Formats: sequence, C-alpha cells, structure tokens
Amino acid sequence: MSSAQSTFEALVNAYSADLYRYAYWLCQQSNLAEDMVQETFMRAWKALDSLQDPNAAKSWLFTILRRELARYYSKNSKEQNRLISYDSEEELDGWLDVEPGNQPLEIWTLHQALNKLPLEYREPLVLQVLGGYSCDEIGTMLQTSSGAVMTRLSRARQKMRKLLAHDKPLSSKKVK
Amino acid sequence: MDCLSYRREVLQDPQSQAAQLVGHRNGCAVCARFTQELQQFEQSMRDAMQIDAPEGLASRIILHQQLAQRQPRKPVWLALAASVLLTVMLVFAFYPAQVSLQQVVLNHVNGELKHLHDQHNVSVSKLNQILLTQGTQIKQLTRTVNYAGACPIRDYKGTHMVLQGKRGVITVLLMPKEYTQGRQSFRDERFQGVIVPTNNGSMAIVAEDPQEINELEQELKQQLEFPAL
Repeated sequence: MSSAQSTFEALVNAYSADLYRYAYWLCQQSNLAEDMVQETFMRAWKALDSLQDPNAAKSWLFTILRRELARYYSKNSKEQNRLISYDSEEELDGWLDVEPGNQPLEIWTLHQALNKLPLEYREPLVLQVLGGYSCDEIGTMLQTSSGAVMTRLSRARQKMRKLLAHDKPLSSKKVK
Repeated sequence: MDCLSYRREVLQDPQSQAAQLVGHRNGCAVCARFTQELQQFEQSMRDAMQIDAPEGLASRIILHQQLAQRQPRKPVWLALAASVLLTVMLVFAFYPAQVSLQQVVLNHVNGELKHLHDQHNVSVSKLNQILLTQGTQIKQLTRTVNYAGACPIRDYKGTHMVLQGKRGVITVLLMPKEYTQGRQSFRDERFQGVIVPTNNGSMAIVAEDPQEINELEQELKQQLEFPAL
C-alpha cells in the first residue's frame, strides 16, 4: 500500500463518522449526508498533497464538506433551508421560568428541536458542542468573525430552550 | 459583572472557565443555578448529537476511492503510435478493454452520486432531445425523471438518467455502441445493477432496490425506440 493510500485510509477511519454527523446535522438527511461525505473524501484524496499539517486534517475535511454541501444546495435551490431571523432578547429571562431539577431531556425531543433550529444557529452549535471547536476556529471555518459566532451561539441556545419549552409546562413564578 | 452580561457570555460557551465568569457565579446563587442547568442541557445536547454513523461507512468510502483509482490510462507509447501511424479506430480495434462494462457503470454511478438527489423534473420531450443525439427515443414514461444528461462513458457519449421509483431512485445509463450479449447482473456494497442489450448498444439500470430495477427494465424495453437516422 502506498503511503498516500494508507494516509487516506487513516483519515477515513479517523474522521468519517464525525464528518457524517456534521453533514447530517447540516442537511438533515442521512442519505445525502453519506453522499456528501463520500464526495468530501474523493476531493480530499485528489488534494491530499495540499494537507501539510496532520493536526489540521479534521478542520480541512470539515471545510471541504461545507463546500460540497454549498455546491449541492446551489444546484438544488429549492432544498435550501429557509433562515428565520430571531432577535428577541427577552427570552433570556424566560430560561429561569423552568423549574429546577428537570428530568433529562429525551433524545428524540432534542433531535426534533435541533432539526427546527435555523441553519445559521445549528451549524456553529454543532461545531462547538460536537466538534469541540473554539469560537475563533468556528469563525475561520464559517468565514465570519468570532464575535458573530458568539452571538449566534448564544442565540442558538436561547432558541433551543424556547423550542423545548413548548413541550414542557412552565412554572408561573418569574425569577427576578 | 452584572447578571445579564454573565448569562449572555455563558450562553456563548457554557464550558468557559474565564475568571470573570467563575467569579460572578461563585457570588451569585441565581446565576450559579442557571449555569448548572445550562451545563446539564449541554450534556444532553452532546448526547443527542452523537448519532450513529451508518454501518460500513468507512469501508464504502475506501472501496469507492479504490474503484475510482482503477480507471485505465492508455500507455504513453500507444498514444504516440496512434498520433503518428494509426487512426483512432484502429487503436480501439486492437486495444483490449481493461475494465469490464459492469465496473464502468458502477464507477460512473458512484462518481456522480449527486445526481441521485437532483429534482429537475425533466419532461419527456426534453429527455428526447438528449436521446436523439444518440439515435434513441422514448415514447412515454410513468416515472418522473429527476435528472437527464449526456455523459461521457469510456470514449463515447451515453445518456445518464435518474428516475423516481416507488422506494428510491433508479439510475439508467444508455450506452450506444456498447455491444453486450445477454443479461448481466452485478452489485457493489450499495447498489445492484443489470446490463441488457438494446438495439443500438446496451442499457444499465442501477438502484439500491432490485425490485425497482426489474419493474423499470420491463417498462423501458417497451418504451425505448431506435429510429433509423
């Protein structure tokens, strides 16, 4: 086996599952996610020479995947997620209306809420929570400022909480 | 730091151990409770996001890459000989095929997976415009055509179509001048396929569900026409 081939296989074994998860949370379809991961690795194979730093391999692959998805959506525009803008800051207080000592949330309920979250919030959230990337790193990958990323993350969590609160009775006592 | 600023910051990164944040929550019971709930929520979200990747994903990716690697390249001396001494026809007459047609078909489908998700809703008349250039026509179809295009296959142009089936999509490759004998079945890890002869070459039908293939094969055999040019 050539060293390029063994490098390639090592990348696939190390990162294909993570890439799949990321693709899935972005496009919300398991077949499309798998196809996008396939395309990503084919491009990675052709561009393997350009990967200089092994520590950067995961972000490099994630970046290729984002580009593949963007390319897919530009050709299939009616499948594009519609972004909902979300501005209210009042929701912050609403957080504390929920009773303490909650039962752990059902996985299924969380999946539903994640799938309803607009893409501009879901993407940085997945990168931070699942990928463990810092705000600076996410900013580089999404080609935006880390400040913008921080705002989106904060709103993502508030929105998630709001989506989940619809399923749970709220206590009427408002905490100051 | 006031409570509102604290909560805004911790919502950006619940795991942050920045001194300012730690200091505030150590002195504020309400924000401490807020943080505890938030971190429990983070763990739930992390658990929920850790969905299973499909079984065999890594193997399929490596297989796909290896199949793509085995596309034949003409040796340099043959290309030189052709340009100096031989016509293109003579080269193909004497140069043995190194890749089976089945592999060509699978490589083509696996190399253009994107089309499995297209939804262009191509009309029969538009499809026939493409088919006409290859001496083929189709009378009618009960299925929606999600994608249709002329595609290079080996050294000629064929037609690549993706049709909507009942349980998934079906790829059809029409390959004029690819003369085969009898019906061939084949598969890879994901797809099953058949190649059947047509009046002017061959046709490959590829899908994940074999029943879809059989049903479509019957329909296409009845609906494809090969008008004399």
